[in-house]
Amino acid sequence: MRKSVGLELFLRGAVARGYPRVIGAHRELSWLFFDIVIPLISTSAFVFLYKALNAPAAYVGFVVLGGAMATYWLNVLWMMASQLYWDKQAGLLEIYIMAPTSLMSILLGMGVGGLYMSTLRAGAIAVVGSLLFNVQFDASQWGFALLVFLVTMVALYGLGMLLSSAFLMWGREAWQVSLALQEPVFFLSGQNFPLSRLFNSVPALMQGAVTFVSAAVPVSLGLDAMRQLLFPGQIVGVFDPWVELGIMAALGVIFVTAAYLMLKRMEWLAKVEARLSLRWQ
Amino acid sequence: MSVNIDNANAGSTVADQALEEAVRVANADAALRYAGRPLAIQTENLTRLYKIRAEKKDKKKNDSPPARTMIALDGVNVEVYQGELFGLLGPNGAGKTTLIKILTTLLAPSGGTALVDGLDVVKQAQDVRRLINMVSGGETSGYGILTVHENLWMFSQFYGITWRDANARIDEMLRIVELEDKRNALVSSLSTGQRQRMNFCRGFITDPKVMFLDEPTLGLDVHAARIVRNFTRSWLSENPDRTLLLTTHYMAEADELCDRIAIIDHGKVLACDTPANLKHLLQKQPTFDISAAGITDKTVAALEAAPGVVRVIATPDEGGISHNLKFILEDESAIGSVVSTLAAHNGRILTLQKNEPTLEDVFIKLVGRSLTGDASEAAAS
Amino acid sequence: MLDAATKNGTNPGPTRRESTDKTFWTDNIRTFRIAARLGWQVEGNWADPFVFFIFTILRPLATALILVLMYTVIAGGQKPQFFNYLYLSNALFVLVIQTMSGLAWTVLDDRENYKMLKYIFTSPARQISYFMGRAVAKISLGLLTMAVLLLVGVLFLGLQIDIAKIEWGWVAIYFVLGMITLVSLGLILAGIALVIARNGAAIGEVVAGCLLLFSGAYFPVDVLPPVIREISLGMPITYWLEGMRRAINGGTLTYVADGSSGTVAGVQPISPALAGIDNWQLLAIMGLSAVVCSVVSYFFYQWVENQAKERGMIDRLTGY
Repeated sequence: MRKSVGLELFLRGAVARGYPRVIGAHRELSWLFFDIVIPLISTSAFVFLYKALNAPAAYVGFVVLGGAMATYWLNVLWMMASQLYWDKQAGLLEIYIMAPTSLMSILLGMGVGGLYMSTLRAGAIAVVGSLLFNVQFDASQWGFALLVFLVTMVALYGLGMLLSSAFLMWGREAWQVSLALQEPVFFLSGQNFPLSRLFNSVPALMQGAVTFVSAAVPVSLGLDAMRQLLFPGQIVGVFDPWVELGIMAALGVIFVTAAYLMLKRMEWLAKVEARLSLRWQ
Repeated sequence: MSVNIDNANAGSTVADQALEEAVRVANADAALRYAGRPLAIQTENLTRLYKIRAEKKDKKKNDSPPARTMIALDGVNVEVYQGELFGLLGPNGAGKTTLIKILTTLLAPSGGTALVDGLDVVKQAQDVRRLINMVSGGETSGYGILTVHENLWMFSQFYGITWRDANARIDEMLRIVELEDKRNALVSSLSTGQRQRMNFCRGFITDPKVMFLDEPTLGLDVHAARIVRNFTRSWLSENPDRTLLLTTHYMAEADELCDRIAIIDHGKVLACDTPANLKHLLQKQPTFDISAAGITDKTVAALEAAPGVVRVIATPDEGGISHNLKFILEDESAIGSVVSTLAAHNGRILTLQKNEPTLEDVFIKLVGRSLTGDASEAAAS
Repeated sequence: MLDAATKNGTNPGPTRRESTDKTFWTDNIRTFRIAARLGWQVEGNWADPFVFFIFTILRPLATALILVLMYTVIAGGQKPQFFNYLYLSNALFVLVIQTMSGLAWTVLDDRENYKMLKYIFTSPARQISYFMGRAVAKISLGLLTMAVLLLVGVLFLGLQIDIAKIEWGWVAIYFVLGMITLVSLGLILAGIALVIARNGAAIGEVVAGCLLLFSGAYFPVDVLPPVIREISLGMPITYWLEGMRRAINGGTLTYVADGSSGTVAGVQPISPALAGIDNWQLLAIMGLSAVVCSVVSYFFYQWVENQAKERGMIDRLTGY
């Protein structure tokens, strides 16, 4: 029996791990309710808040776009970063470690599969939200916006890989950290408001630090760039979209490389401390 | 060299040394027996320590409570030859799973070395993974949203198996474990036993060179367990270049399947030999019970004088019609002279039974308790 | 095969005896007490108290900051009473989420993660008391978080609360009635959680998200389209939030309208739809809600538990 090695093995592993995610999106349709209708309702709450505050119409668009992009952050947090924790609970982590394909291959498959799932959700939220609230996007720079989106995804899922390697060592702390990161990142990424207003609202002494922390989450600058491109003239961005694209490309390289190194280190540490099969901890 | 294991669980250094010597001798015998075959698994002085976290109440009492260390494996030396079905027996917490986890690259040893097919499990982990697989009994791994076939296909891809080969192997394995009608069923709809059978397939579809089975029949019904055992045996006989290491709590399973067995407790290998030799440790001379009619004093005298007979104890039964004869023989082959002597003196054999210690007797003697941990059994024996 | 006595009706049947179970209240109290302790262990023993505290308030604090930013970005510090409305509601809403999600999450966690639910159901422990006990930790954390948010709001974020004006009596009454209602709704969700798959793990938060839209938590219900506004005015949480806001504020929240955008100049209630209901009417609505929700939740739970047993959901693992 021929067995692949090298790149072919890597790709087989990635395809195989992504498969359950893609299939799950089509077989188990309850996500239509839980991952579209409900986020749409939450997004609507923020839309009505802006209406109550008599905000400009563009802010409704910001919220809808922010709600769609939040799907990706939640996917990275719950189905990448802490996924190895869930797999450990299910006894699957041991099987992944024992297999000759690398964990990066497994994570890549998770990432691509998760991206597919999230795109279905985000697309539905964006389309339905836009129709419900009559959001007008400017499509003149759609190509650039798409490029920004793709680079953002590479950086974001690279961050997911990096976080998953850290979570390899944890038990219930992994779940608690994921829970703790959820809303703070929504805040730091300007999910519901222009990011530049966040930086302007903090004391000058803290602006640099807040900008740095915020920029480290790819969703922040990615969302800001996309808002500048899809709602031109209606938002003051943090940086020029090209600068933000460059930052995210750099982040993508950094996160993926760091994830590779961290994964090896954490896998070794987990083996030394016998955490790979430690459950209910 | 024979070794007296009567004080095997006495806890003395002398006893430990005697056991270590016995293991060394047994390994040397195995080396001779399997001369020409490479070693599939080899550990040398393998050690694994765990640090026990101090309890919160201890932390409150002391500023810096001493860290406790638990020794899971203590200088384990195991040699398994290619083509062997090697068994690992031991009570819960003995170190069996720790040993398997180290050999399957899931756990790092604290000391010593472990080689699988000549490859270091620590330094050459990736190479080792291409050659091995593991099935843990009681595990029901898999994604419920996928079908049986899809789950097995997914796992096969992690080993780089082509789609055509994977599909063929999956269908073959499903047929063997009698799950072919569940090929397209969602895993979430399977019963526990069916999921375990699927898990069993997962291990073998990658055609590993060294296979680790950690209690593979745990929770399976009698029929499914028999399928698993039969397949395990036939897989090895059809593939003599493969090796299998099995842990089990079922003595009969170990006795039936294993070429050699290592008995492990508190991280130490207490004995390592064929099941027959292990039983001989307890009882060097075979004993037989024969119920026979037409026995006279002359018959008993003739039996005592028969070649190979060490001792005969004749007891008339309650009805006085037959006698119960207990024989201690020098060798099993002496039973032939016993039977012929009885026939020559017009004795009629009603029943004949060979008595020998079971593997469980050996286990209790060595470990000091049964697999259920009842120390009184050791005292009674 | 029936024996002759059974066939001709003379078989007296199996020997039955009357139940001597007189331990209903003892079982309930014991179950509640043990479950409450277990709930705290499950919630908090993964970290030391300080870390645990930080993690507990981090999420709601971030949500509060999001709202503060949104308000600051648009209103620029104007309409402070609206800020009070927004911030107070958000702090109170934390309790809604914790209570409703706490009960549902307990069911799913015990069934899927710890696989203990079947042992609870086969023991003499009373299920409703068990779930309520388990939720005590989450509810307590919700109360603590609410208090911290209010403190942070007053000290750092410009929340204006005059302690002298707080109507403590109304606070206590609305709080008690509200908790009865919330716990009852949480019990309904716990029952639903018994019969759904694991992907409904967020059902409590999901429903809380819906309530966010319909209960006037972030904005007055008057902003909603008419149909949705009617739904909102039919929900007990809407009145609970209004009652608590009034009691803490010392009266209906108002703002000074400048007469633009069709508003009448002068002091106007932030939520005109609710301003016309006085405290006693609110009390009656809350009281009725508490009674109705309690009764409905009790019988609904009994029914759905039977459904779960019929469908074999008590010990089914549904993760994928």
